[in-house]
Amino acid sequence: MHRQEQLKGNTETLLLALLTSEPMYGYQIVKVVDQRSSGYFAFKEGTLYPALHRLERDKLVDGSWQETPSGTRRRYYRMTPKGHQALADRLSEWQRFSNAMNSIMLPAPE
Amino acid sequence: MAAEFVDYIRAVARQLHLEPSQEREISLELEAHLEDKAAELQAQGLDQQAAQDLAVREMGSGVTVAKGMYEVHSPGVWRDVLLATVPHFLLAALFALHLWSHYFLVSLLIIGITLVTWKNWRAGNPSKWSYPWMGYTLAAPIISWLLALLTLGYGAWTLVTTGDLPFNVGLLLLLIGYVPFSMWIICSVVSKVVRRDWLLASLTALPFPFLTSWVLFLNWQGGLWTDHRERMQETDTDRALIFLALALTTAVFLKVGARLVRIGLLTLATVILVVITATSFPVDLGMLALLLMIAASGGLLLGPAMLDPQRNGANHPRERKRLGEVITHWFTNAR
Repeated sequence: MHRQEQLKGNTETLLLALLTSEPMYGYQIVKVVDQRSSGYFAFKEGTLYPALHRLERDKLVDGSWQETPSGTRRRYYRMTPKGHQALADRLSEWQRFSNAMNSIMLPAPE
Repeated sequence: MAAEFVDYIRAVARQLHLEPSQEREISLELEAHLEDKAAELQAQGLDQQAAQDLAVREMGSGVTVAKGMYEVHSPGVWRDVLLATVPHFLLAALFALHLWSHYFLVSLLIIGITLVTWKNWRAGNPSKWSYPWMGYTLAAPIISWLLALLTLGYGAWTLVTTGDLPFNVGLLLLLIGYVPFSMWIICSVVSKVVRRDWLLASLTALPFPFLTSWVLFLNWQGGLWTDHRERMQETDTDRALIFLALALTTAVFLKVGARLVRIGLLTLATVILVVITATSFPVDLGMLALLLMIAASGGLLLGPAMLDPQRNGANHPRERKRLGEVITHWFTNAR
């Protein structure tokens, strides 16, 4: 439950971080999150889409339909310049937050 | 498409309440996800049925997905908010400047609002901002329908008690024809709005209680066509403030995304404004009349929920088949 709450608060940052390397479609994102986190972030896959659409509404990503050679159509999301800027800001904030948390929860031995 | 997928997408679509083009995009995206997932599960060794069931289960609640999508897509941009509040501001100005008794000006205003509504609605995909405009456009047939009905009732009562009609037979026939005709216009528009989203029908109906109560009071105070403006103008400031409050309510409604907040906002605003309306009239209406006004206004605003075809639509196999065909059609056309 605690894990889910943490994920919920950081879903959009995670999505931006994933999309910075290459454009991806929804199911691909689910698989990459699962692989990179070794299954740590288990979430209901449908909840990914409102987050992706929110990012698109805020012009942080851009979604477009593409057809694979096999004829399957998928909606790919790619970062926009505004998305890159937002990610940089969020990562910087995350770094400060993480350092502050670590300094209290995992203090260096004296 | 697998029946499980159709059921799932149907469950999401029933709760989306968005523009058809947005619903189509979302449905196609979810369908692609389910197909990918099921194909991969089958490649891992699951049989087709088990793979489809698991793919749907791992998507999570369709209602949650739809709620998330509604919160993302339903809020209007500031342009929508500005345009949606214009008719409320125009009515507020009409009362603030004591211009409501200038029939030529009022007629021009009604024609202008009707033209804007018609222009926006004739394309078949009305903008978010156009619903309050539709409300004022419908106000004329609704109020005239109510007045025609009251006049018919008065005529019938007079005929029964005195044996004479208080007006000529030509007018009687005109009224008898007008009542079902205007009701048909109102019902066809309301049904169209409710098909999109019953909550937008409630937003459309927002000014009705205030316009209707004012016109009925005006009528009661000596008839619509007699000179009573000085007495009625005493309440113009209150009327102007009520229409300003309607503009504010509309703006907040369009900017918030949560459906429950929208329902609460419309209900609360209506109750408060009905109380202000009732107390602003220069006579004491009494508690019973006030409660009846609140109940009638609340019923009018929340009534469209009962007409919602999404709410009443059963998940019938025939409907399921039809939905499959519709999604296939979307898919083909989107290529």
